[in-house]
Amino acid sequence: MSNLLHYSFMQRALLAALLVGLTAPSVGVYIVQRRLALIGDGMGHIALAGVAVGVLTTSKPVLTALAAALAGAVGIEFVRARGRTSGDVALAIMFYGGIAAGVVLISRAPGGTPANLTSYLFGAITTTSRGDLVVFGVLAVLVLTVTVGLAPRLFAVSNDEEYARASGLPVLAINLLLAVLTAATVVISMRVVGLLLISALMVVPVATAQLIVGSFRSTLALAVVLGLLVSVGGTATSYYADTPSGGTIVLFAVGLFAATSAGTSALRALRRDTHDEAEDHLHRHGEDCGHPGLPHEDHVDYAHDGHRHAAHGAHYDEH
Amino acid sequence: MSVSSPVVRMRGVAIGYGDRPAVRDVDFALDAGEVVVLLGPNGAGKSTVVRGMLGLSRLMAGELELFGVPAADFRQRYRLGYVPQRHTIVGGVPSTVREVVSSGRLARKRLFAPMRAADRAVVAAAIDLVGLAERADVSVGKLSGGQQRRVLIARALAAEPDILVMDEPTAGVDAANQEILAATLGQLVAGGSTLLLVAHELGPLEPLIQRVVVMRDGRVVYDGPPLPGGEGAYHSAEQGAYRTVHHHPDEGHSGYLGLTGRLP
Repeated sequence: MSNLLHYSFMQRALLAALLVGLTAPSVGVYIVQRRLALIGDGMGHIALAGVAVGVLTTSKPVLTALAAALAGAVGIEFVRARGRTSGDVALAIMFYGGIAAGVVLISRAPGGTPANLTSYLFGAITTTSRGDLVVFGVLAVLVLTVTVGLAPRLFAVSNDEEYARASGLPVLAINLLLAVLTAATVVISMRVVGLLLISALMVVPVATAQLIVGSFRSTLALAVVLGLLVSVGGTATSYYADTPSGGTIVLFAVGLFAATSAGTSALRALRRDTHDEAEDHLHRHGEDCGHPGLPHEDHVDYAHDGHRHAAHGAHYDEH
Repeated sequence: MSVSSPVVRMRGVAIGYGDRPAVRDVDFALDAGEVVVLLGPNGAGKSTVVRGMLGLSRLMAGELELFGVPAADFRQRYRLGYVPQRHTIVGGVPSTVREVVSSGRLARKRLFAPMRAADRAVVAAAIDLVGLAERADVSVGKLSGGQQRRVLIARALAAEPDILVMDEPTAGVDAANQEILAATLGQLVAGGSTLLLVAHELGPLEPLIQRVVVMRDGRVVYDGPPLPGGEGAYHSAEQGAYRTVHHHPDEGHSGYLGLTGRLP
């Protein structure tokens, strides 16, 4: 491990990975809640056009990517707010227009080689500069401050947009804010994860966490832990294995999801054998409920519409 | 806010989507303490009237006042507790009953203001009122359809509204759970709550209803006390061009939907 931290480019890559692991699931949880898992992917596509402009004009690609992603975020939210079915097609045109412009512009740039296109798309550990880290740090502080401070509102609007509007919450403003947070996260992730793979880190840790826990708050907390684990672990591994960091991180995340999924479904199958809770119950079974009592080992079951109910705490189990 | 202004007053109102009004010429007023059902077949415009009240559909003509304030200037949306017609409240991420009900409390909170002990107590009281206290920390995805409907009622109650507006509360809910719902609403009515329900049939809620407003083809065709003889009675009343003038019941009802009194 010590030789890994010996190189300053690795120190920067690992710090960037840390910021990605913290922010991507914090924003991703709301994206998954709205069932918009692919929106981050689209923003990555649009950001590539910004990167290309940066490469072409030899200005900082991280800043031009940020500008493009922010413009894309606002555009996407306005298309969504109009709520037409043609919105889906409008989004596709924006996304593919972005990536096509990016690929073409980078190929015409003086320093544009297929190799550095690949590092923008799939991440590389050698590319994070000191200046990038400053931008990422500022963006991460912003993203975390807003997602923590406005968590209840982001939850309410993502959970039921119509109800949020009826109860007077500023729905359009909150949606725009979430889009801007997504754009910022895309930019934070662009060096180590890459623009084509960013969305995975917003979505997969959240999907994995919700296999294990049952509340929104604990899903978010666990997703951040898993995000940190795979992004830092994947970045370190890519140093030793000499693989693109983004691909390595995402393979870690997907592998963790698959293992968790297999583990929890095996556990559930085991549990189903022993414990099955009865449907919503209107009354307490007892001597005068009308359902015949049937002694069963140390307790009494009640015959209820052809199955047996046994009291278990506040509910009834099927026996 | 003066106690005497009605909760809702509509005069010659048209409401719609896009450029087309779905309801027109609606005159309707509702006072604090009333329990009113908007009745009519699918497509009659019942939900549109409610959505117009809630600011979800566009007011295209006429005057709409909420608590004596023109709707365009009305800023206290939390006073209207909306229970939408949704068959499921499950999002892409699991959330518990308490988390969903807490989101109803936000309407009363400033931006960035954290939930305080008093807010949490109101949320707990709302969950208790709909009979889900034992399941408060269970993921809503694990609940039955009828229980999820009660979660939405609790979410509306968490804002301590002055009126509960419910769109088809019993639709898609099995008979046993309809009885529980009716009992929950009965408890609210007994506590003096104001209720506006949208329904295409009265069902188990019938004993609670004090006034019926029947809509057909985007217009109000009957407004008066419930008639014996079921839905057919309104049809004949309407054919006889019978339209009752609504008398305000005992004025002076006001206050929150019973929750404040339940707090420790």
